[in-house]
Amino acid sequence: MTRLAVAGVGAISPAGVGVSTLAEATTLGRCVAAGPISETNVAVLKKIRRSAAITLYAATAVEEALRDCGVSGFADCALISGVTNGALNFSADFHHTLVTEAKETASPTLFSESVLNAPAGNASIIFNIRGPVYSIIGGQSIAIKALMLAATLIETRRAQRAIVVCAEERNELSSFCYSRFNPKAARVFSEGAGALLIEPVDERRPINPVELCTITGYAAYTIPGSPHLALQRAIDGALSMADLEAADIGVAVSDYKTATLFREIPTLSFSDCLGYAFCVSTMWNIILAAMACGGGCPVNPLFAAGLKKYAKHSEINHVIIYAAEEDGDASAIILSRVGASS
Amino acid sequence: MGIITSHGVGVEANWEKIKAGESSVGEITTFDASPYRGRLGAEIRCDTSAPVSHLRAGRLDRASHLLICAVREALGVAGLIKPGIDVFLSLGTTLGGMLSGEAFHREVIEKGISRARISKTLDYLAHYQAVNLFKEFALTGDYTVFSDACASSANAIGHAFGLIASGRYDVAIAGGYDTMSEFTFAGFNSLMAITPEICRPFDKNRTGLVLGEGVGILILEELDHAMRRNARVYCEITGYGVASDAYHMTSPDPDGKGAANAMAMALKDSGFPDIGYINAHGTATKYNDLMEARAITKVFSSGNNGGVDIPVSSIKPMIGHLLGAAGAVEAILSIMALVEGWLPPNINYVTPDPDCNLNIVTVGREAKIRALLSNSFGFGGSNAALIFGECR
Repeated sequence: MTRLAVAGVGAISPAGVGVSTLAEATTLGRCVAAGPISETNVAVLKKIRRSAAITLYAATAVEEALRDCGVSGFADCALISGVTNGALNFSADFHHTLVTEAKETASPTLFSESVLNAPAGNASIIFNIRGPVYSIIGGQSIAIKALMLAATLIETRRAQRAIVVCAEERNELSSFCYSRFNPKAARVFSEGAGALLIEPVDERRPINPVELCTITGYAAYTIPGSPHLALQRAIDGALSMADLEAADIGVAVSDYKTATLFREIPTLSFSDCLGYAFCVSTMWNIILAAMACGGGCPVNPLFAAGLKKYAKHSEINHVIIYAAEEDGDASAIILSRVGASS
Repeated sequence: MGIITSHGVGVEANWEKIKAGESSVGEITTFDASPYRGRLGAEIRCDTSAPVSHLRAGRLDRASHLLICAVREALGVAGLIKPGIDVFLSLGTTLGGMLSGEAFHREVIEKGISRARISKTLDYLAHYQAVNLFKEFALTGDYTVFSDACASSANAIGHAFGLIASGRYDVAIAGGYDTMSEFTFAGFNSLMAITPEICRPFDKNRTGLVLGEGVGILILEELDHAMRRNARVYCEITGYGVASDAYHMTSPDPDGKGAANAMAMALKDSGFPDIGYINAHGTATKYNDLMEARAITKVFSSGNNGGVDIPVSSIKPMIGHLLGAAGAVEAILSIMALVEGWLPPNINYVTPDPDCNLNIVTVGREAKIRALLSNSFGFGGSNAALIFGECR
């Protein structure tokens, strides 16, 4: 496996623009009123002012991650966008036009900006990304699957580096439907985006001031109707790839509620702070874990607090982030501190 | 392989009509198309409700029914899936279960959200058709659903090819699907991309595309794995290229740089085989065909007159533009061209366009092909190229 480094991160959430706001909110345990996001990156907005909110969020997060990695020129970069629902508000407006107004007057912008690859397409245009550009669709697992796809592209030399972004926007209809499907979850729906830039370790530029972490293992597995079993297979696969035992993991991060996977390891969730934003929630978890692995970043106190009763884990070397859906789709990824060994 | 288009159900039925140069384009019946600039489409008119064992048929979107039928055909031919074999499912779609989405939105507008059937929204999600396949066929493994507009299923096949080549999976189910919906039709109509007359790719007087619907499924298998079990092997996938325009959301880069990069990458991946046929994306919009012709010329020009000698055709005038399914369906029909030694015609081509200096196949004909290239391009500047070769 090619050793991959997380070399840049970016985010926008109800906490604000930038990973620092994400980290601050979760570190302090400050509950953020979930969406809609009122603030975006003005420089990015100018170029896509007619786009859907999901595209604005994706572009904002990508811009920060690219800036964070300290590289200019992304022609050989891949861009993988993970999406659960897409531009639901533009889609609803377009449907509304077809039902209530003169059909032939439907706006071309509403259509082209509501397609599922609009966030990726627009981001590739804004940032001149000419490598493979993919949009992949799924639930919470899709953030990890997008990273797996990016890793494959780099390993097979179809791209030198890859930026992975997940974005979602709030929508009244979808919030209503998801609440009805799963009323016990009592979720506060959220929106935003998270982006991560990965590249081979040996090609990393020394100008990046923060050593974040390396991706050491990942796996995804689907068993219809058996999310718990699928998740166990995914976690086992990720541990095997990383050549680690479960006991090597310092912290687990997930919004999937299960008590039995890691009895001795603290499992953290940030959705109480940031709300539930589908695949973006998993991406935020990965970003926060990457920052924790990086050391010296503001999110560390949160992990330290979570570790208090686990004295043997005084230092986090490896973090596992996992996600699973009730339909049986699960995935897991392991981030490791740079230089940490199994 | 499994396929459903307006030409019918099954590889053989489709191939016979493609060979004959038949068109199944007609007046649209799925919705009232009278307000629009164009009223033609290539709809599937046969019964495609799939018998299901592990799903509730009434709750499935038409897209799921089509997929289940095509996967059943493909698995029947491959004779493969047995308990204990993990498979990778790689699908491409533009809008997933859009007909369910349309029905839901209409009910919300007409009855209010509290009385709309929210069960409609489940199979609206673009990844849920993949989940349905896992349930119906009791699959285990992993899946990825690509939504890269009209390059979706070419990318799905390319990714599955990469995972098998890298040894992560021995078997993949790859392909794509999309159904005819008013949402999509109105969208392309608003972009002035739909023709009010017949579809004629690369013709000087082309006026736009005709939408279609369908599904194409390929069972990809590691070659030794297939040989060990004496499977019928149609061909080898030998190359995949993918690149982005980074130019415009709905217009292709006029120079075709992204498309040329994708083709060049596929050729390099494949070891520069002797390409005997190019299945063009060929939508018949003014800008796509011009861009594609420039890109093909850039990559394949023989240097004599600046033109390209390799036979080129688009099958979209016969079965319409299948959007997310286009790459997979065209891959299947291109493979049949390879296997049967017959070049599909680019029907409706009458007046050559001097700006599209290609060797267009106007009438279907026999030809011995050892390798071919299939192009797929889409909104957002997505470009993908696949190369298939005879099994060595």
